[in-house]
Amino acid sequence: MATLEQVLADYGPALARIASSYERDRSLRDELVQEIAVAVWRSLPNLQDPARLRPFVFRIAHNRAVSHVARQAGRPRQDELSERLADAGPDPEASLLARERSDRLVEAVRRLPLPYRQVITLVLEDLSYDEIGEALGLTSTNVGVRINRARAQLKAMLA
Amino acid sequence: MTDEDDFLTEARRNWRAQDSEVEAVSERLKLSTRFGRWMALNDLAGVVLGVVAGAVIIWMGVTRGEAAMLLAGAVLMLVLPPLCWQAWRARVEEPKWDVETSEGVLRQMLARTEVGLRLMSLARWQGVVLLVLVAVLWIAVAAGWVENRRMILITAAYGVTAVGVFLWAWWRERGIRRERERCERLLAEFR
Repeated sequence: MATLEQVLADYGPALARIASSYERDRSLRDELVQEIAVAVWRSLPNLQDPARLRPFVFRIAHNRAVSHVARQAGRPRQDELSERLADAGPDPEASLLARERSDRLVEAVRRLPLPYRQVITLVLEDLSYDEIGEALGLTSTNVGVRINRARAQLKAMLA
Repeated sequence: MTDEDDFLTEARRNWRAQDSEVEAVSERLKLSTRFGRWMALNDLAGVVLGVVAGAVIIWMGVTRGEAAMLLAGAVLMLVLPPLCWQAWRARVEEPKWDVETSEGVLRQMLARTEVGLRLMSLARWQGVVLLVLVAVLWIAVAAGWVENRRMILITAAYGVTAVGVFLWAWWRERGIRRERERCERLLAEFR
C-alpha cells in the first residue's frame, strides 16, 4: 500500500497546483494542500487497486478543495503582491515574464466554472480521459465535452 | 501539431511553472493530524465532563437535601452533553472524499449546514434554559428557600455560560449561513 510520504513525493507539487486553482492566497493554499494530504492519508486504506492511485488522489484533491472553498466563504484574504515581487530569481526579467504567463493562466483557470475547472486542471496534469472520468465520476464522453468547453473558454480568456 | 495541441502544450508549460513548493506543508502535517484527533476528543471530553459534573452536583444536592443544587445539576446534565455530542458527531461525520463526486460533497455539506443551524438553535435554547434556572434560583433566594451565599457562585457561572453560548451561537450561525450560500452557489455551477 502507498504511504502518505510516497504520495506527497509523487504528487505533492501537482496537489499544490490543483489547490492554487481554488485558492489564490498562498497561506490558504498551503492550508488546503494540508487538508488534502490529511484526507488522502485517511482514505488510503480504502484504495483497492494501487495502479489507480493517481485518479484516487486527484478525486480526493478536488473534493477536498471544493469543500474548502465553500468553508472559506467570507474569510479575509491576504495580499501576496509583496511576496511575488520579492522572489524574482537570478534573471528577474525572464522570471517575471514566465511568472506573469503562469499567473495569467492560473487566474483564468480559477475563473472557469467548477466543472470545467476540474477537468482542465487534470488535463494540465496529464491525466488520460479515463483517469479524469474516474477522478470526477464522469463518462469519457462527458469528459470530452467538458474539456472542449473548458479549453474554448480558457482560450477566449487568454486571447 | 494542431493549434489546439499548441495551446495545451503551452498551457501545460505555464501551469507547471507556478510555485508548487510543499515542504512546509509536509512539516506541518503531523501536527495537523494530531490536532484533528485532539479536537474530536475535546468534544467527547465535554460530554463526559457534563455528565460527571452534573452527577456530582446532584449527589451533593441529595446528600445535603438542597433542591436548588439538584436542579442545577440536572440542568447541567441536560445542557452540556447533548451539545458536545452533536458537535462531535458533526466533526467526525466527514464526506467520503475518495468515493463522492464533488457535487455529492457539496450536497453533504449543505445537509451539514442544516444540522449546524439546528445545533445552534439547540444551543440558544440551552442558553435560555440556563437563564431560566438563574431566575428560578434567585426567586428561591428572594423567597428565603435557599441560602444566598452558595447561589451567587452557581448562578454567576450559569449566567456567564448562557451569555457565552448566545454569543458563540450567533457567531457560528453567521458562518454557517455564509457556508450554505456558498454551497448553493457552487452546486449551481454544476447544473
